[in-house]
Amino acid sequence: MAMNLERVKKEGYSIEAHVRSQRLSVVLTGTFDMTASQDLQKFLDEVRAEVMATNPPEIEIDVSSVYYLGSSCIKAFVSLTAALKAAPKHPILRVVTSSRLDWQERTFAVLARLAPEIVNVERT
Amino acid sequence: MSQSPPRRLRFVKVEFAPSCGCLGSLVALVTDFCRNVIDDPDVVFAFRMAAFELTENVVKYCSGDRATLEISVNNTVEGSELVLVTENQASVERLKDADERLRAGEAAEDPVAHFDKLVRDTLNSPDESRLGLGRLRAEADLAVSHSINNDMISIRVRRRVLKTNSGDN
Repeated sequence: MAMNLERVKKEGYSIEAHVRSQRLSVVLTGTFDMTASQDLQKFLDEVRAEVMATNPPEIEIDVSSVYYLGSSCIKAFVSLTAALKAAPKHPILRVVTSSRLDWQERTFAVLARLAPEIVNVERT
Repeated sequence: MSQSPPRRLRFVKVEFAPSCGCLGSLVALVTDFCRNVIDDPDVVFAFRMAAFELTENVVKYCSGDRATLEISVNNTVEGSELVLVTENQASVERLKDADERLRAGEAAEDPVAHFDKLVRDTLNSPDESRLGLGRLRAEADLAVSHSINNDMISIRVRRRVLKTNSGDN
């Protein structure tokens, strides 16, 4: 699988991607308020392009170390979910949340309601 | 017979120049205030989320060079209530748009269904998410209301709380 996703590291947040066993894995850490939304949108646009080019069966997004996600960043996830739902091979999107941070499950549940056939929100 | 002293209204009100640089400080102020008055991480997070969403709206849409934010705990006959209010100037077009969206959100019987509709709508909105106010009811169980007076808009979020701390320590 080709990988053209460059790590983003800024004051307050970071985003990076790995490939493990044919699975694309994205890890977010930090606080994603409006100041992070452009970086996140760009990164998830690149994830979408990568998925369309390489057709992985599954994408994992680990948000368990995210301390806040603002509405402009939710929009970036909604756009990615809609694109994956429309993709020919319907890759599964696994969102890994923390059981210590209850809000994560509530926030990301909206993706599962948007595309229940491809989105799984899990707690660790 | 001694009477217990009346409980004081507790609040913090800040006037600020809207910019991205002030977001973190305002959110920290609201979060610290809530932690001081209530031992409920769920309520504290709800108001942290509200502080982010409301101040981000002010930064994005304020047409003046000043805005205010106030966090308070009010004691009523039914119990205590935490209230967060932001107030700012905005353009006529922005006020009309905000009024329509806020009225729709306030009237929605099912906040989660309303938020899901906003999420579907955001796919057709290239620049703005328009999700911030809707999520406050759907995700954080906060009551949201607003008022418009001339070119000023005031947005108020509140939540009843069971027991508050004295806040004096």
